[in-house]
Amino acid sequence: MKRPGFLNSVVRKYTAGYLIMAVSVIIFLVLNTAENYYISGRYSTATGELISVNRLESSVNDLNETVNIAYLYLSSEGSQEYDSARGIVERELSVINEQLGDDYLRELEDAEQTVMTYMEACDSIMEGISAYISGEGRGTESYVSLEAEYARLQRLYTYVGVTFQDTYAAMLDQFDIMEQEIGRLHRYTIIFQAVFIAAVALICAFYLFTVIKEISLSIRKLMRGVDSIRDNIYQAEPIDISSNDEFEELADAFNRMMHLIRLQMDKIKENADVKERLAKLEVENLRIYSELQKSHLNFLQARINPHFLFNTLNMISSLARMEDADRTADLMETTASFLRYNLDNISKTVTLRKEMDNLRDYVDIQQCRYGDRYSYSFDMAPETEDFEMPCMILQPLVENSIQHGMAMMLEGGQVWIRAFQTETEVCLEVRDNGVGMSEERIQEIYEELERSDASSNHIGLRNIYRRLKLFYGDRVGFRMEDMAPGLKITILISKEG
Amino acid sequence: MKKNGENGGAGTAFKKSIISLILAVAVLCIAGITGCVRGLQGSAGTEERPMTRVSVIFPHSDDGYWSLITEGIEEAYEELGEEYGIDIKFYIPQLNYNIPQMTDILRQQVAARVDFIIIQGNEDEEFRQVLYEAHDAGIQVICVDTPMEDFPYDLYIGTDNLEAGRLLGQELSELTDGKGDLAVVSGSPGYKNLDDRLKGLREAISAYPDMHIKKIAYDEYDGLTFMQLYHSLDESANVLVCIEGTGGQTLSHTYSEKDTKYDFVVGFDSFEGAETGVLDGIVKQDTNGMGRRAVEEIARYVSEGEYSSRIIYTEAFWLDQYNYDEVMR
Repeated sequence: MKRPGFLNSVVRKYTAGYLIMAVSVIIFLVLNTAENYYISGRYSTATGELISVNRLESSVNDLNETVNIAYLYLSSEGSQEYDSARGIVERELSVINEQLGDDYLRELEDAEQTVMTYMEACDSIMEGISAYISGEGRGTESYVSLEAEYARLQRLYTYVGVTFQDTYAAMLDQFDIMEQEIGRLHRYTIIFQAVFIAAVALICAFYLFTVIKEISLSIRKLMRGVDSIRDNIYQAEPIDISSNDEFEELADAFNRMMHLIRLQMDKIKENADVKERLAKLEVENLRIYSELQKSHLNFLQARINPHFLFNTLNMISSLARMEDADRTADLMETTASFLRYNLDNISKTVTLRKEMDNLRDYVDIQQCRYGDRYSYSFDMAPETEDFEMPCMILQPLVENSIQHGMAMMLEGGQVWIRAFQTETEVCLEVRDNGVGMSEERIQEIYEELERSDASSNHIGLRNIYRRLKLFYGDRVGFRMEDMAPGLKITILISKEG
Repeated sequence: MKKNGENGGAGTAFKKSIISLILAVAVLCIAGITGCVRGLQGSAGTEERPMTRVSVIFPHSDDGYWSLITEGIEEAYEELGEEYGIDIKFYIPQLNYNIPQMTDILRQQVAARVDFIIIQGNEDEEFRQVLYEAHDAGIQVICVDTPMEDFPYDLYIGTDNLEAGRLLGQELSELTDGKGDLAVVSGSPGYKNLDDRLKGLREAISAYPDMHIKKIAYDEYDGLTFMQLYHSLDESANVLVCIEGTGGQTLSHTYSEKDTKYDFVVGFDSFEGAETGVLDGIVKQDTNGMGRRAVEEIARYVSEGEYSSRIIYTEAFWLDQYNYDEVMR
């Protein structure tokens, strides 16, 4: 499942890489622009200052020119021009001071102060000239004084020129230093930009390489996943991609699909097994049905004889009564009852009570035959009397006990027949005190009971077992135990189902 | 879902990339800014106003005396200039000790209304006149090495030349065992420092009846003139006293060992001559201290409005071939 966040898709991952590049380019451009702006500002300021100084010098030259004219020609117009020129010098001075602000340059400071000294001298001489023109001071002394002042003024003018030359020299020195600084700045900027671009290129390369590698790895994992499914879906490992993008989603979907396919395949397999079992059962049913049909046919073929025998037995019994042979008559009737039970119920279910009654008939007949050689004990719980079951289940077991278990006993043979129930089962038990049976033999009999290709041994047991299985299915259990002495056979029928 | 491992990378890589980018930009910016700032520093560009403007007008730029005073000023300026807002500019005439040129420079400084003028005092009338103008304009006048007679200079820093002359006389009398005819070569007339030295010398040798000053001549601070005098002074003189530095310096450069023309040659401030033995001994002034002290006193005046004293004497030592290392150390 993708986690929330900006980088949870391939497009966004690529976009992030391009964003890094874009930001870097912007930083690069901003830096370049800032550098250019700074450099042009420096040049502009320096040039502006130089031009201002030059304009100040020009204005001082103009001022000196007006003073010269006023002095040489003693012209009153010269005085007006002087005021104008002086105003220009003052303005230029203020412009320079404004430009410089708090900055200080010794040579310029000297020049400005010298200009101010010169202006004061100009004022002084212009006052003298004005006085001379107005006629107030036209004496020789005044003239001499004016001459001396003019000489001083021209000396100051020379100093003004010198200080301006010094100022230009200093400013050009500064200009030179500024150019060196700008050169240094430019070098640093170029180095910075080069390193910056290199760093950004490396970072972007690293980042994009990581993204591409991740995508490639995801694709390879998906391919491996597909291959492993093709080879064997049960051995295929889930695809593990945690790239937090569409590939991770695809891997998750793939893993879910693989899980579903496995489930479907399991179900198909299970169904196939069930079908196979059903087919086997069907074959077995067909075989049993065939056997039943066959036995039924046999039974029908043999039916004439039992009926004939049954009628004959009744006739003999009546004859015995007439001749007062009651014991014989009873035996005939018991035998007839036993035979009738067999004939009437061979293909039906009977109650346990009927089965027990029939078994008693059989025991009576056997007692006539063997006398007190064997004794029989019946124990049937009343709640089991109406329990439905196939007929002729218990009689063969008792017959087995007589013929095999106790055949060698001349006396003291005992057969116990019990019917009871637990909470879950109805139990039918036939036990004798005969020779019993070894565990190995019991196991052999169990195996024979399960085999369909049965031999001629234990036909009676196998017949009982199969009939029970057909009637009860998996609800019935068949158990043989060596009781030393004797053998106990127990039929357990589950009440449920 | 695992977060680590081989396939977890774009988010982590992006975070790493962003952090790397930020770090790289930060480091580069710091480096760039530092570099740029460093690039913009160290220039002799404009500074903040107001500054105390000091103009130093020295007569000479030799490598033995005035250059040492200049060094002292520069060293102290380096230490105190920025702190006290002092700006110092040096002016030297094209010709050594050219009074008219120095006077013109002085006028320029007065016109430029500087705050302090440091000069070597001299008694030239025009020079004095301009100095008076400076003084009247409120400019602080500081005399170094040489004071001025009857002039209201604001500060004098230099050797007590009278004492220096006495020291020279005493050492010379010891060298000559109190016997000798002296020829004295001075710079120019009208320099109070030289007059004081001569006065001190006279006082010192006055205790020795066999020591006499036979001749006093002036080399006008010029080596060629000195050498002409060297060979043409009074024939009877056996001791040459260069009471001003030019003589001793010229001899030091001319000879590599002591010349036989005079039995004894002594002078002022010619370290090389003292070391090689061309001169038997000299009085060494604390030239560096003069320059340094001048700036210190200006700083003091700027901050406190007064000097520590109007006259400040710096030390003077006797230096010869034998104690050269000890004294110079």
